[in-house]
Amino acid sequence: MSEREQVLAQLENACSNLLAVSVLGEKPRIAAWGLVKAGKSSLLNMLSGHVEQEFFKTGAVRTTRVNRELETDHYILVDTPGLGIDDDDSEQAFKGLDSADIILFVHALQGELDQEEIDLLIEVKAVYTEEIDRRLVIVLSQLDKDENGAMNSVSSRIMEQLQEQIGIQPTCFKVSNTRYRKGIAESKPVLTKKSGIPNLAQYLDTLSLEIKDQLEAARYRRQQVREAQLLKELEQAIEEERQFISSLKKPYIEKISIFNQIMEKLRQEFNSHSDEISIIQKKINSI
Amino acid sequence: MQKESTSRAELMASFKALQRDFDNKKNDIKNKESDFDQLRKRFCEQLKQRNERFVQLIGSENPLQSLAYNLSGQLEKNFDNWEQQAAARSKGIQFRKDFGDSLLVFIYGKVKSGKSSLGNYMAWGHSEPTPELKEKSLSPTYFSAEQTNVASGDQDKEAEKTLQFRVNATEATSSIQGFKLPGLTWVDSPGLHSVNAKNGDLAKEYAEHADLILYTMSSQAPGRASDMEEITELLNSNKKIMVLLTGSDTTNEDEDEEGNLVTMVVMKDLLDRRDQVEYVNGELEQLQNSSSVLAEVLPISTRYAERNMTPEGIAESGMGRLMYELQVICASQALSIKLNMPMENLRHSIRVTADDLAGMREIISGFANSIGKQNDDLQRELSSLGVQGSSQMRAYINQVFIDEHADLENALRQKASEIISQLAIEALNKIGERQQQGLKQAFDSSRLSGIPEYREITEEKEYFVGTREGNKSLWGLGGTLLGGAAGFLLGGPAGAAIGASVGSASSMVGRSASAEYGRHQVVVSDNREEQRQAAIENYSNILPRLLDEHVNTLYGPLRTAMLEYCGALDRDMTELMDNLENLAQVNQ
Repeated sequence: MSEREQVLAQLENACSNLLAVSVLGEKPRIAAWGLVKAGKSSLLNMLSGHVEQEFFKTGAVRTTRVNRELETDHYILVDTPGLGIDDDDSEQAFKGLDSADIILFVHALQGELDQEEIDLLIEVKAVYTEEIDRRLVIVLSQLDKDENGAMNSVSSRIMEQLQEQIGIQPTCFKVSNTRYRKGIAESKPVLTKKSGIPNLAQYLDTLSLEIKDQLEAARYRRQQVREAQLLKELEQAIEEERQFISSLKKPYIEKISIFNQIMEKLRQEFNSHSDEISIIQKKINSI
Repeated sequence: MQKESTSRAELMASFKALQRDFDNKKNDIKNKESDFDQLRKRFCEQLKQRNERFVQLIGSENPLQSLAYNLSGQLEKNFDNWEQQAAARSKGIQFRKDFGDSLLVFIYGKVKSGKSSLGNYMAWGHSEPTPELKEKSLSPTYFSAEQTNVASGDQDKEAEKTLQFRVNATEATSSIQGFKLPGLTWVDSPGLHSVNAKNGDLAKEYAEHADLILYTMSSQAPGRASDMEEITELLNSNKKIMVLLTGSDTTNEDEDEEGNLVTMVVMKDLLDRRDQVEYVNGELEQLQNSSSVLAEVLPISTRYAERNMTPEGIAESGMGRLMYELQVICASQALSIKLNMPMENLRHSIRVTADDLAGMREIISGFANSIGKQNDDLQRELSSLGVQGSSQMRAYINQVFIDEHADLENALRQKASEIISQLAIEALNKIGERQQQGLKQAFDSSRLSGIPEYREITEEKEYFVGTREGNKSLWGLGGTLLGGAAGFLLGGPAGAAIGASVGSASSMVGRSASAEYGRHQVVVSDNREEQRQAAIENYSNILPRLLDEHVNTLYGPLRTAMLEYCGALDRDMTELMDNLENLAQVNQ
């Protein structure tokens, strides 16, 4: 498939997605989103109480390939494939992003945000516009890997990056899924509490309740934003197609116009000769 | 986990043993490198000169000029690129010069993938060495190369002063720096793909000069597309690499009775490590040139290694295996890698240059096509203008023959020259070429052939002249008669010639007896129609051909010059490529 065709196929896909997303339900949809292996599926397992028996599949290499949903009391959790591996995964993940009311951007705390993540968050900002600070929750995972409090400096660096590079100030949670899992499984309250998961869960409960009434309006607004974006892309694509077609036609048009010019000259030539002939004819007649 | 485990001390001993070999067999291809730069430089200069001359050649309205500018612009861009490459190369040669007696190992990978920690471990056996540790170890010599201006980066010559690489929770390295141990030079580089792109660029610039690259991938998310792209690039440039999954450990946490967290670093689950290795190995196998990946993907943890300093602990951490693999390379390939690398780099540069040249060739052949197209346009235009000119000329001829013009031929010449010059300008305007003085040259009217001289067409007639005595009166009668006849037939200027005609006839008057007959040349017509036909033939019908010739005489040299320019560029490139290939082929 040529690049052109790919772009068109993507657009077509985006259009049908836009039209298809209709029944989102009455509960807020919370999507875990981020780079591959950030800990998205584990996080959702913890949040939904699937501590011992996971609902969202996890592994040491990328595991989640398609979006998966789970309805809980207050909200619907959506797991998405990790970004930064391949295009099919990314397409799924963006689909998940489109239908989400709250985004949990999951980032493993080993380092600050890299350029790829910054670029992704800029896209999230484009969808949520001014609601971004409320609807985007940054979850810094793998807190258990912390040594000597180094992660405090990482997380404050991340907040700086969010502010400086993207201009957003979202709420931020540091969590450890393994700590929580162990805390629950072995009934160890310190581990549970220090996992950050209960705080995040509570925050999401509250946020879900708060935004419940505004869901429809917000979804409608997002739909509008996306529609406008898509429309712009469509128009651009149409314009590009037009130019492409006219570039295909150009050589023929040139040839035809040259042909027409030649024909026109021949016609004039013929007419002037006809005039000459008729003058001579008259002369002959008059002799 | 591994049977094949080597301690750091053993590895260092292997490298030390290697130093002598390195010393004995230095491979200096400095001449070749400078030849390479010289060849490219000469090519650039030659091309620049050609370009300058060429751009002057074409008129500013000629669309080919903007194409020519575009062409030279694109070529310039390539040359700038080459200049940068040459600068980077000379920087690299300078850099490498000091490390001729050791294997140049370069640590390369994403930001925060554990490069500096690994370097510190290699230097001291600890990722964050303490002063006491530094006291008792064999002390590496630190050095610094270049540094970016990224604000949060390390200080100027920081590693040299502190005798370790800066390790931090956030991006910490923004310089090329390293340490030397006998037989081994270890170079730490800034991380790729961070928000400080300058850091990554610096790393890329120096990676070219490594003998061996250890590509670090965080085991947190191994095999990301951006990692695989970097590795693809390294393999394409024939780099020998090893891939390390850094930070392959995890924390076991618990709480003590006082409600505090207790942590313990353990290696990641064996199955998880194996999954990751399999996954990344699988990705690597799909790449071209994957045989340049010297060992299988190794999961390592410096953190675990330094907390478990027993041989078992070192083995479990993966560091033992890393040392082992390095030792294998040390024993088998290090010398040949070291000796081949400069040549390999040069070959790579030549390949890249060849690609650049292929791109240039495409641009130039596009330009040659445009020249061809312009010529086609011109010829098409000429054929249509020729028809038009021929018709104008014909109309003029018809008119001028009705008008009885005095100096017919001159008038025709003038008109034809006028039309041809005018149409020539029009034709050249059509292709936008009108600035050139040479193209304004007037049409050379001597190329036009003449028309036949005017002459009358006479017929010899016999007529009765009466008696000899009656000669004179009959003479007059004849004149009148003939004048009338001629006047009837032709009228106008023809009448003027009649007297002479009659006069000549009078001399032929017979002298016979009573009834005498005379013979007389009588003007019955003239060659006006013949003249007109000739004029049509020589001025109108031939006009397209003359116009064609005229314009092509003007445009031809320009076109030839343009084509010659393209040909010359092509020859230059072929020559350069041949020379470069020779450089690549000569034995080491």
